[in-house]
Amino acid sequence: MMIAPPRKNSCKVCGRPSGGEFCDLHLEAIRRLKEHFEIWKERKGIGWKDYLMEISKNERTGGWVKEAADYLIRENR
Amino acid sequence: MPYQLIICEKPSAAMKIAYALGGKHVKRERHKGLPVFWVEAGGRRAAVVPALGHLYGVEQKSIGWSFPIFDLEWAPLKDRRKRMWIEAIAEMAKGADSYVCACDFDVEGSLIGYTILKYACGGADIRARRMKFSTLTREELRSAYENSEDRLDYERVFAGKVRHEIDWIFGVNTSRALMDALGSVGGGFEVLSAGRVQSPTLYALYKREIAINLHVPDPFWSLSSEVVIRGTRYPAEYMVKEFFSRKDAENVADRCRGKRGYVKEVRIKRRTVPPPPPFNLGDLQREAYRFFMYPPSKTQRIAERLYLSAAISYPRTSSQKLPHSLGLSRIIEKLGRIERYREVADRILERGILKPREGKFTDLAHPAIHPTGTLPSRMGREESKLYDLIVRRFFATFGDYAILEEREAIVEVNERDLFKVKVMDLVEPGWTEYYRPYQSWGKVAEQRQRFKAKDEAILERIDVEDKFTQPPERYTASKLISYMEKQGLGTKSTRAEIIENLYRRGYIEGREIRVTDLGFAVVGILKRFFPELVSVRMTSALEEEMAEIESGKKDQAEVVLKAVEAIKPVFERIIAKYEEIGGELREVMKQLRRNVLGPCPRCRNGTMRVVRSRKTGKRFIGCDNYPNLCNFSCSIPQKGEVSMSKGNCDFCGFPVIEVRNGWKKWRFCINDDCPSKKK
Repeated sequence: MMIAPPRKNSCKVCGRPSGGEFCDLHLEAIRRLKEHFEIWKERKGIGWKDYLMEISKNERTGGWVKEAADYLIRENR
Repeated sequence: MPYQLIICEKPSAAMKIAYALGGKHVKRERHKGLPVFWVEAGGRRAAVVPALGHLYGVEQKSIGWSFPIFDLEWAPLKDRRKRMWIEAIAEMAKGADSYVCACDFDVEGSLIGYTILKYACGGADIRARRMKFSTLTREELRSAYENSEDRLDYERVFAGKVRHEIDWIFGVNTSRALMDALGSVGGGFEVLSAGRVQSPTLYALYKREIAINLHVPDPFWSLSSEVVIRGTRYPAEYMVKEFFSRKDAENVADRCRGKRGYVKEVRIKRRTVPPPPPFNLGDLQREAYRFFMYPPSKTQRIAERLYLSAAISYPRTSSQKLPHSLGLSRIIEKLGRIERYREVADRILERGILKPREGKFTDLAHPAIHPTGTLPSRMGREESKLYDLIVRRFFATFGDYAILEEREAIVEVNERDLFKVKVMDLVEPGWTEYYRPYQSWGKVAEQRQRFKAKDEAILERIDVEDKFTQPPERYTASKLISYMEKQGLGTKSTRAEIIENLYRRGYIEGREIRVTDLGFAVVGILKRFFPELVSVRMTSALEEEMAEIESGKKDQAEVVLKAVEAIKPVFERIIAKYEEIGGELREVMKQLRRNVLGPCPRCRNGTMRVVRSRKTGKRFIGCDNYPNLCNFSCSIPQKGEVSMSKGNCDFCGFPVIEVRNGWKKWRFCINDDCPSKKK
């Protein structure tokens, strides 16, 4: 999935049409990222930023989760 | 003088049948391009003529593009050669006074014979006889002719007829609905397809794709260790497999490293492994994928070629049975005449009683796939490989149980830490000796007394390993066939073709199957607006009903009407939501058209697109006229957005593309042989 410039009513990650800030798939990816952060925090004791970096470079990470993580890193969110 | 007309499914089968019935006295001629084999069979003159698979198909009865559409008829297929052959068969039928259907004995074969007899031979189906055979060997064909049934196998014919009709209603209507919806919002024309079996299959892949793409790996740790017992080093497994803190894992590793312990207990388990059942089509497709990486459709094609050369029995079977009436000892004797099979064949024959292991699946029409003992004079590399697999599997079914011994030692260190050491030894090779090289657990262990209780054990190595939870595995074509079998999607003959169709339509790609953006969009829309069409339940219920027609339990008209009743409300809903569906499709098509890079510089009438290799999963630029008219391709970086650049290459004049990945940007010529790339 290519990163496209954001348009009105389009997902900020992939540029596809969406009802809000993100399309359903990237919204779900972000939800999961937040959910799994609790596990990473407990097991590795790392912060949100380091967690996103680790997730982004992990080869087992799903494509949409990686795109969402990259977006969050880029936007410093 | 009137003659008998014998209808066969394919030219190669017609030739085999003609020579089996007529011996050396076969007169070959062509009638308007149709090959005709004149023979003396059963004391009378007969003309053996082939079809080219299906000559008739389901078509729309009325004229024009409309949706929904239910009025259909059986009509000659559009192919020019097929139409010519229909005419020639119709003329041949005028001089015939009796008819025999000698098409393959399965649903499709019976339907091919029926439509030709009914439509080309002026309703001769009601007078026709039916030959029933599983191999194209001379003996079986002669016996099938002499003992032919005095009526067609109408149950099988109707089951096939209903399948074609229902598939047409589902496929044509859903595909037209998608295309109409796209056209209604000015999204242009695009060939989009959906089908009764295709859509639930694609949906299964879609669900898996979502699970993979939304996977968040979680960290955990495990211990990797080795134990030395009686001077031999064994991999060992700690009693706790997963640690959720690295510190805990390290504590265990530190306190155990280099420590001496002892074997607390030895458990010995004997496992008997029965021989595998003979191949049915699904099993053969799975094994051929495992050993040769052949996609299921390729295996089916090769198996059909082997069948047509009389080397193996009919491959489109779900049976795992080998009845004695097949003449098993004679087949093994014949195989024993082939040098590479002599030793195994002799060993099996020496055993005296021949009792193959059979599986639970049966097929009303055919036995399991087995060699006939007849080796064709010429075989290609792929045919030879598949033939060898089939022969050795056939041999394996006559073998004894293989016996394995599993020895498990529990090693205790520090009086609290337990490690498990597992060793598997082959005691009796049994059937595996007949199935080499496809199954082997090595040699029979000479020294099985590896360790015993109270032996000293030294923990020589113990390391902490960083691990992460894995995403679900991708389907391969072979795993997808298994999934379809389990869910009752499609039949043994259609599954491989349906998967192939998903590739052709561009809905899936790669050997480890990925759903493309187009596939994703189509199935996403189907799921949202017409969940029935992607539901496994509706399709497998229909499959069951069609199977009941074949076994004579259900009436064909009843099943078609029921299917139409079920699908009608879905189509009504489609019409009500045309604009919504069209709008979504238009957005998706816009995205997808970004992958289109412009006209192909080699063939000029094709379009260059970014596509993924089915073999490697890597992306490249290819022409959409591949494989028929153009084989242009160009390798590109695996990451980044690809677009056409302004101007052409200074060296060779080919177009130049631009790949942008974040802030990095590359420009290069798409000609792999460009002198600029050789510098």
